Amino acid sequence: MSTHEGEADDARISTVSTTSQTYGALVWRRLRKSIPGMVGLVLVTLLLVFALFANFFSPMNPNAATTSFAPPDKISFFSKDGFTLWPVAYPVTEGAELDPITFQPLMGPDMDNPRPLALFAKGWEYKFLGLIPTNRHFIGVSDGTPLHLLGTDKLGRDILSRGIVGSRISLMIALVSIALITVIGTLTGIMSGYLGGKFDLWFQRFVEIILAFPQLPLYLALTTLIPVTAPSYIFLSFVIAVIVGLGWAQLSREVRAKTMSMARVDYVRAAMAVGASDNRIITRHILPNVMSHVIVSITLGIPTIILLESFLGYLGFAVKPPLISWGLMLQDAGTFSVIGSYPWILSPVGFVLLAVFAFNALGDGLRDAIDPY
Amino acid sequence: MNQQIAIEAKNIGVSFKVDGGQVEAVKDVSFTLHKGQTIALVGESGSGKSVTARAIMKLLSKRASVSDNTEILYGGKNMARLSDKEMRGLRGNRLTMIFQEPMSSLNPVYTIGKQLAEILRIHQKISKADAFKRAVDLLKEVQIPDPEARVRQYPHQLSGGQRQRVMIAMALANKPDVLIADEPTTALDVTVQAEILNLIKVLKEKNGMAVILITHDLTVVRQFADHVYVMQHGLVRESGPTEQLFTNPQHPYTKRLLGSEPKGHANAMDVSKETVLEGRNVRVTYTLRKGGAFRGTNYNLHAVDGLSLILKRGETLGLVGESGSGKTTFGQALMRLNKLTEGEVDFLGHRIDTLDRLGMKPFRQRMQIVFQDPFSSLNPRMSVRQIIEEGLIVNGIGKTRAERLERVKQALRDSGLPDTILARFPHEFSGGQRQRLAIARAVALEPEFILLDEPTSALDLSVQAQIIELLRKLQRDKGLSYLFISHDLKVVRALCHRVIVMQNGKIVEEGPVADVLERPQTDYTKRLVRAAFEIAT
Repeated sequence: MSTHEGEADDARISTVSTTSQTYGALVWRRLRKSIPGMVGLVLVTLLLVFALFANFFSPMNPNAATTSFAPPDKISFFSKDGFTLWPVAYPVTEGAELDPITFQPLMGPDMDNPRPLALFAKGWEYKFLGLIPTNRHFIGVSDGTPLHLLGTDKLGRDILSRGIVGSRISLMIALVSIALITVIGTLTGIMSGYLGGKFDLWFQRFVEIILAFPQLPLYLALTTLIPVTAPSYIFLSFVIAVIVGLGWAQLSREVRAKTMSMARVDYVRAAMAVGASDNRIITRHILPNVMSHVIVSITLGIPTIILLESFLGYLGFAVKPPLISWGLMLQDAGTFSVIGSYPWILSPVGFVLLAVFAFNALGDGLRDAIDPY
Repeated sequence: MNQQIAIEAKNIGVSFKVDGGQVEAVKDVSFTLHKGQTIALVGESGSGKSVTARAIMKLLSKRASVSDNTEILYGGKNMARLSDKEMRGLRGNRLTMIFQEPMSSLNPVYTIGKQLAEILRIHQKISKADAFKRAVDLLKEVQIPDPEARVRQYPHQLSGGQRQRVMIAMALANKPDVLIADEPTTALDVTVQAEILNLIKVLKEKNGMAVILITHDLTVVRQFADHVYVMQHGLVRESGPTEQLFTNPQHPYTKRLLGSEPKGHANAMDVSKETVLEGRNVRVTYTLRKGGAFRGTNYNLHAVDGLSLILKRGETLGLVGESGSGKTTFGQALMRLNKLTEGEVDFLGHRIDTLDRLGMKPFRQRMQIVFQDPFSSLNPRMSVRQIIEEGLIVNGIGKTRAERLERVKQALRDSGLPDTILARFPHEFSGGQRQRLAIARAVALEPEFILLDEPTSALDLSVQAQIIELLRKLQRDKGLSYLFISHDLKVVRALCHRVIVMQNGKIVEEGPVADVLERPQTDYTKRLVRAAFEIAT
């Protein structure tokens, strides 16, 4: 550009960066600054890695039964010989003494029986990524005896392992549902917002009906329609179908509003002025600018579905055994006496909390970062 | 002139935290403000003039930090060192400020009277009833008609100019010593602008306050300021008494700023040329609803009321009017971007008002549009190349990628931009550069007609001059016809051959630019001309 008389260089702004910043780079730069966003990102990544390599990370076979309601093993850096650098696990067993009031045997760590923990220990057989047969696990006991870091449930199955393997189903339900919700919600929203007129008027009334539907009774009624003997994949896809069927309406509404404001922006009018087709205007101008909003509602929608799954599972409607999900695990914690005596049975609540927090934090960070202009 | 000093500022420095360091927005700005005097801080956007004003009022954002050697002496105290509590006692009381946007600086859920009374009661011990009476007096003072009724109204019931008057009333409520006016008239129509500035002047003389006027408009400065400080890049480049500075500027930046007032005339043209665009009795009607949901009635608002125009090849036709006069609606209706209710439009001898979208497509390439706001007219997700290439792809111009690329580069060069910026995104460019991009997008299609919808009004003065020069050059080289929509008569004089003055959807006056601007026939045009070229009446 030509310089004009008296136009001194503006010395206040650093001009170090001369390359252009892509959209992704700008979003990343802002997301990096948000502490909750980064915490969420790390947790979500960990969660996905754990779910993907669930068998590798779970120390025990999630379906193998040992002692029922065994409490968590005690992990300690101290053995009989004093301090050890590598922690050892003491199984918690019934001691010889009885409680003077209830006459139940007192539980306590079996200090005579230290079992050193090991990374990449040998354990139960599985196929790594479904392909390579192996028996190595991220963590275990070096001699191959059972390790229950979070105790066992009423059938004696390891809760930690079930939690890790269960994350697969819980996250799968959430991710598949949100993917479908996103596609349906965005498409219908853009169509309704862009076309307007009669279609918009009637379509929005339909959306309102769906939004006004009492959800819980519908879930319960619909799930009872499936025969109990139906194979589990049918059951799963049915659950997903119900979640999607009720979930897309909200996103569709939001996208419609966003599209309507977008359609009035000058650059869309400029595209009309060069003679661009509706198709082109939607895919090149409206969709990319609506996506930022959609991405945020995806990350904030996942925790909602995880919660929904956990509570449907708790009521026994989401997933049937032998599949494992967090909601299903919580079903075991249904009675007060069980919680009172075996509090570790509640640990799936921790998994749900962690996952919900992770996605919420990430969504929060993304919301601030996603519109960098 | 009264020589008592109201504010003496020395070495105001403000820096902002940004990614990887600090940006010094204002460096060592010093000025002296005497009682009863008006000083003007003049500069283009980003020059630090508003930041300076906010530093005085201590209204800076949290990311800003004021440098240690800043001294703002008011009544013997350094305001830069005052605590927030002491500052609250001064703000709105001894020092007041009015802002650019009168639409958003009043709270929409309270009546005017309530908001005025609140200001009074914060700083003075008076009863509610007295405060209310005083509010009526204040409204009378700022010349709002029927103040007794207005005081009970809500902000949305007032026009933009009246709201700015209310803002001034609020600022004057406690008889301040200093009034800071930050672009007080930029958001207002030209005729209203003159009234507001005169009001400030009258009230200043009556109350003997000192005024700091922040503006980019040199005509305003010349009329209203006693002393001028020219700012650029956070520094005061030059200062001096107004007349001296305008007649004998020293610093090259000041010279350039003064020289960038729109000047020159439209390219000479041959009037016998063919007609490019003709509109006959064009009418655009919106159906609005009055009253409640059940007993309401529909009525028609004629945004454009049966207008006709003829645009010849190589001609620039100005469409002038205040906001709400229907000029943009008219322009876009002629391009079939708005629905026509009635009327006929011919483009290059073809009737286009009856065509559907598909039928319009062959004509789209030959008529283009440049919008007012270069920040919303470029898709932020597309690169420069994608933006300019879009029209070529849509219209099937250029067989190969290489051919299209060459045309994109040519359009950039034509618009005075380097052709090396293809992969960049709009947010990397300044307002003027973005407007050049928007022009490049239009000329890439080699149109015969361009609708220019206030293309210069969002830009700084010096950038504005460059864009006008560019538009003239493109017209000379390519024989373009322009329909130029504007409220700024100075730009119209510099660019247009003929002009149409619009008011409330009707044509008030039309004719060659020189005739209409020098010998306006109707009162409305006279008012517009006076407001644009004289301001003070």
